[in-house]
Amino acid sequence: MTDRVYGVLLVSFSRHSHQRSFVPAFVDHPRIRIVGVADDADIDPYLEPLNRTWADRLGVPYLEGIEAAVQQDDVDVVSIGHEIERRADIARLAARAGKHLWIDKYIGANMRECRDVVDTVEGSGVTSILPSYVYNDFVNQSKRMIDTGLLGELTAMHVDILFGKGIPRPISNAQRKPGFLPAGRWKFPDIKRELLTVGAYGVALVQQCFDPVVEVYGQAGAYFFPEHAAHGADDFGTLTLVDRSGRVATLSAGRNGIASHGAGGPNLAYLFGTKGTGRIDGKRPGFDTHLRNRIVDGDYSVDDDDPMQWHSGPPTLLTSTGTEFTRAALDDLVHALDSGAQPRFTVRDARDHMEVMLAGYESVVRNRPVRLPLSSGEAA
Amino acid sequence: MKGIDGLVIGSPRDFEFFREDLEARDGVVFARSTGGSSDAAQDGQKGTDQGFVTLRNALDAYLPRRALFLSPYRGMAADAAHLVENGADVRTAGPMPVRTRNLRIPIADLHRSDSGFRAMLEASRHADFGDPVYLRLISSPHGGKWQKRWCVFQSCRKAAALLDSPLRRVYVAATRAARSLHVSITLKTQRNATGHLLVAPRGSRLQDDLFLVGTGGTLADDPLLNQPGVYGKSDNSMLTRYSMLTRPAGRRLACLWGNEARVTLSAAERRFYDDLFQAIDDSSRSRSGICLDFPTA
Repeated sequence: MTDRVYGVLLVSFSRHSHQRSFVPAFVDHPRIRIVGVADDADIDPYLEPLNRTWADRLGVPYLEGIEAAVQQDDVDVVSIGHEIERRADIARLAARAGKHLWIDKYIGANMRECRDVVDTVEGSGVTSILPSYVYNDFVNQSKRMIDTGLLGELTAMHVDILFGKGIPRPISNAQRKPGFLPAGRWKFPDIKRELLTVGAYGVALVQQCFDPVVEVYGQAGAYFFPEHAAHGADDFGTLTLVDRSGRVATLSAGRNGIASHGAGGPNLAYLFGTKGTGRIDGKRPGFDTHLRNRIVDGDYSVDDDDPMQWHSGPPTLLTSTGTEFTRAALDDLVHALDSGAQPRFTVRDARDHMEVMLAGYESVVRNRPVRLPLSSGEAA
Repeated sequence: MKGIDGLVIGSPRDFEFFREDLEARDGVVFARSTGGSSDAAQDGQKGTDQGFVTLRNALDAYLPRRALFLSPYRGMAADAAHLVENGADVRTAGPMPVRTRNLRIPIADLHRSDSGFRAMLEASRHADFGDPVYLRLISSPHGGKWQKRWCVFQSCRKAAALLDSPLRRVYVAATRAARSLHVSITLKTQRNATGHLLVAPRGSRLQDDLFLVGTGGTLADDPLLNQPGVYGKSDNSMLTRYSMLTRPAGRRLACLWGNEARVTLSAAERRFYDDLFQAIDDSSRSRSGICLDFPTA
């Protein structure tokens, strides 16, 4: 008996998602076959031609109308790469159709949406996975270090993750919107909320190592980019998390500009234990790349179509040689579909993860720590 | 009693930071502070004085013109008072552990003695760095509660210098396990820069692991890269032994004797640090963080 091949429907190539990053792993995996690209009609003008281009490139049909597309018999898994604000509806739609879910980073824009997705997914019995957080070397090395016992009892963590992308520019007072934009609006044509976008990785790492988080303190308000300052939205922020056992995690996260770090931005974790302190560089293993021509002729300009470099990276002096996380996540999904096991990061984990992120934003707005679980009204 | 130019009181680790300077100076004596038995254990050194002059002997034998306390210990206030009475110009690297009536001992900003700090400060003030946005500073002092408190104090002072702004607010979260205390200070300055000052329970060579982010780029001081190390034998497990040697710190005492290193805390600032130290204890007990506002000038 041959192993079953699972059909994957790619729902949207929104530039606010990583759908295009997932494609190589889908294409290369022997147990996966891309069966189509789908999206709705009421989407941003740029998106339909982009979706069609990807469908043509992959040699699969472009299907307008997500609701009908997910019903197709050849669809086993729906890969959701739409804007955050649309993901919950699509996830529920697909789960109710009995389709398994591969979701990029977030399952909803607020706690109500996240809870609804968890209820629907768990009620329908489909398998869900969010591939972006726990399959990378950063998390694997951290967990491995903890498991060795060398640290003793883990008491605290610190994580620095910055994306050295985009071109920061001076910001005048007139460009700064007073106050801080609360959580809830995530989609902008020119920016991403970077505490959510980048901080999400650090929070996921902490959640893998800690008990449930019960207190969050967030800070933001210092800007690199005029675009973020004009929205009063975060391009950088910090979080401090306290878990149920009193353990403390601190993290910094943001987008701080091209050529600000040799490896394209730090990816560092410190694990503090009763017997020792561990340090993990998520950009390593790798090798230093000091090649004269690449440095002297290095092109640090950014594409006008991608000014914040959401889909590109800067030249770096380090070539990472760690494993590619998407393949590991896909293996975990296929194993789960074959065996009925749960993947390592499901919609339930994503709901708890989003609650911490929302509490961080709430804390920035209120200028005080926020306790979890969030009560109704608190970014919920 | 023999008159000497200076008496420096500290832990063996303090001595290492100033070793080159101390060994090059005549008339300056280093005495080991009396509260550091745990330091010896952590350093893996044996004996009671490890070759250092004990403080008791130093106080009996010398009449210093200047004295500098680099680490706190029980009974320090009385020793400081004794030195003041004998005419010494006394400074400490942090607040006195106990209230001292009629005794105002100036504090010296310890980071000013560090050539690495001075170089980073200079780089951070260059126009290319832009405006400071974020500082992460991890330290891991030897010793007990007051050594940690001094480390917190020194980290706050250092942060204000590197972020080029007085502090505005801190959120203190501390956790204790197996007698190990970890302190996290989350700060915001009056210019909206932020920071994390972490005082770790272990990792004795994790001294001032520093990451400074500006609008123009980043500066980092990584102890792993700045301390020479030795690859040793590996056992049959997955561990490779790597021993880090003492960092060639090159700290200079002269930088601490000058007026520019002298810190004058206002009464409100002194209260802030008292509250901060208390908040560390309270947070570690309550498993919850505590916010404190830094006094405005």
